Amino acid sequence: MNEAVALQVDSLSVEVQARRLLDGVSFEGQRGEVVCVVGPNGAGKSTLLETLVGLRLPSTGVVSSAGRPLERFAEFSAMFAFLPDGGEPPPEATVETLVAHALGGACRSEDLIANLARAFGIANLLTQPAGVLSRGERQRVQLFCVLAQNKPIVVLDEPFGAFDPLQLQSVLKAVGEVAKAGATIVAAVHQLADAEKIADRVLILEGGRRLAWGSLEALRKETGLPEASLEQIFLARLAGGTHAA
Amino acid sequence: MRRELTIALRAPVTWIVAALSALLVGHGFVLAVDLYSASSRSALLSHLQLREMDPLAGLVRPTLGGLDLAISILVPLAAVRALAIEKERRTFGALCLQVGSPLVTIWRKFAASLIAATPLLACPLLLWGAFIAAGGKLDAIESTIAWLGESLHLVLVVAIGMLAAAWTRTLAQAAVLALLLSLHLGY
Repeated sequence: MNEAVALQVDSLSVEVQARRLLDGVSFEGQRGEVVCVVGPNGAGKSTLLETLVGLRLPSTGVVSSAGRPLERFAEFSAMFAFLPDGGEPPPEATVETLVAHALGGACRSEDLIANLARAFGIANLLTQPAGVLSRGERQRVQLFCVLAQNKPIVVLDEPFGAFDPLQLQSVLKAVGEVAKAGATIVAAVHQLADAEKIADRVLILEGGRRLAWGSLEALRKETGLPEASLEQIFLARLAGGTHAA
Repeated sequence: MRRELTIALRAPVTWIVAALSALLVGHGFVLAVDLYSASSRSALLSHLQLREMDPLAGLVRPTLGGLDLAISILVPLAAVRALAIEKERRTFGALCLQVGSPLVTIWRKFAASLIAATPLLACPLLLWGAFIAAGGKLDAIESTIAWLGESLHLVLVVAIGMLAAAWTRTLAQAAVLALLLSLHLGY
């Protein structure tokens, strides 16, 4: 087992009421790597991430971290920090309370926390209850709370949708810093341009199955489009429809 | 725990329930004192009636009747909130991951909901205290036992609220289920 591999997902399948939401998806994430999961609506991105962090039971397949299969919830909890899609903290919780709770357990280095707090503009929001924050501010607070936890793998479901281009720049940079500090980031991203900016490797899903997997360069070669953007690769692969099992 | 307490204590529903409960308890107490003092005056003329004047039946139980009603009808609406709001807003799973255990998370929410509901129990104690200060007489042991009975009722209803929130997906569903279970259990 390669020491750098922090996350190994083997043949993960999820079936709910006879409907197969995920079908034998495999991929891996290395320490310090950003893996972006992309796919059309209903491709199984959120299902994959929820299964990955132990919030859904897979029908088949194994999630391993540092070579050890994860089985108990406590094991998943020790490895993963998770930002759910559309999750909103209770309106009466103040930002200060949410931040204190996130920093209450093991958290990342003081310098990194300070950088994250600056990038997300947390200091200005501390006294506010979550209920009065804008969508972008709420997302900044939640993203900060997730990235600040000292977990080896950070799983983000649609984390960038609420940001304007200026905010997005600093948010992407902050996520990159956390990865540089040794964390593995797995993010489901709808905006392919955002994914292209941050991803080291990309997993393309369609209909619960793996359509393509690899670095942007590798995907360009596979698709035969050497200058293509991720969006062009994505569209070409969807049109081709060849599943890479 | 601080996070859970903040959520429970800052929720408007917590204080609306406490205020309505205080009204019910206060109303029961005032009526009971009025009736009890009127009966006491006429009881002075009859030895038999005097022997039957019981502060537990005449004052303590009517005061706790308002509390009982508040616990059965109002507390379920507040008790479900701590857990149901996290489920409705899709943050419960991430919170469990952060805490490390769903059981610990639910236990903290239960404890926070219980703490947020305890002001309800203070109201009859304050009223009885005022009654004694004004020269009334209550048996401390039997009044305490009756009050502890309502405290256990409160714990049970908060537990029902957590159960209802665990079984359902939304705050509204949880509140309706908790209310039905509480009423079924109490009446």
